Amino acid sequence: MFRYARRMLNDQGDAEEVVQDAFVAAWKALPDFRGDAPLRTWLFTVTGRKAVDLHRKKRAIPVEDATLTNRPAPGAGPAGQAIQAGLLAALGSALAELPWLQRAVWLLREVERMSYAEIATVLNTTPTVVRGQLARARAGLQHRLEDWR
Amino acid sequence: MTDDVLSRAARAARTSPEPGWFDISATIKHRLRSVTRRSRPIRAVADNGAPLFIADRVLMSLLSAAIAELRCELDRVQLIGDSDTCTGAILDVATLYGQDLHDLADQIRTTAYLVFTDLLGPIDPPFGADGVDITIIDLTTNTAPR
Repeated sequence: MFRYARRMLNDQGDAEEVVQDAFVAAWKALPDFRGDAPLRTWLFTVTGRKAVDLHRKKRAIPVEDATLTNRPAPGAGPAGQAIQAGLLAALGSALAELPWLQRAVWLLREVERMSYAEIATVLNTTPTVVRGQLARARAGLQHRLEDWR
Repeated sequence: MTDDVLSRAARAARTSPEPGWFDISATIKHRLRSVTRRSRPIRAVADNGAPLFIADRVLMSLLSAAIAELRCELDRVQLIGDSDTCTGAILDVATLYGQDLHDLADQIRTTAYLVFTDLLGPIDPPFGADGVDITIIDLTTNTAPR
């Protein structure tokens, strides 16, 4: 949940706030949890809603181009870790440029390994929409991470 | 291939430890321990006759567990009564398809009333199993309801 919130909001402090609020909301609503969806899916739904609420309160902050392209040369220093850290930073910046729904779909599918049906439940949409948004998200990320090929 | 980059990025995001999570999880646990959930006190009688109050959440939890033994799932409980007294209940239940629902409702009613008397002590006036209304709200073919 924290990982999802952090990548959605691109801010550690905001993610912490969102996950805390999500856990508290889930705890209070637990007696009403009907089990129609798995607990994990339900928790991600609550987290997503809290993230949207917070996102709406804040203005988007433009990402600097350098963040997307400045990366250590392969093989420099402890190359593996440095490249992975750089790739993660670039991924975070690239994700931040994607529309909210595409970002959520990509994270839930590629990072959290959810099925299309589960993602549709979390985001209150249909599996068909999930497929479409995922394709757009992949294309968008491919374009933005071109320099990391 | 850029696809490989995306796969690598996804794998890295999945496997990398989240910075600060250890401290954050401790903060969240601390906050959750201080969160209260509203509960309604129900008047009961102890074995020695002394009055006491039981949270409705405890009652519902025990009802849910007892009804699960009948391969049913308790969806909602509405307690009937004024203020802190309980003079009956309406239970919404989901269960498996293909059963005699009248027989099942009788079993649920009896089981639920036992929970009421076990937990609340002698109920005055006693509302009996007939004071428990059962509504079957869903039928499923799964081995466990929903």
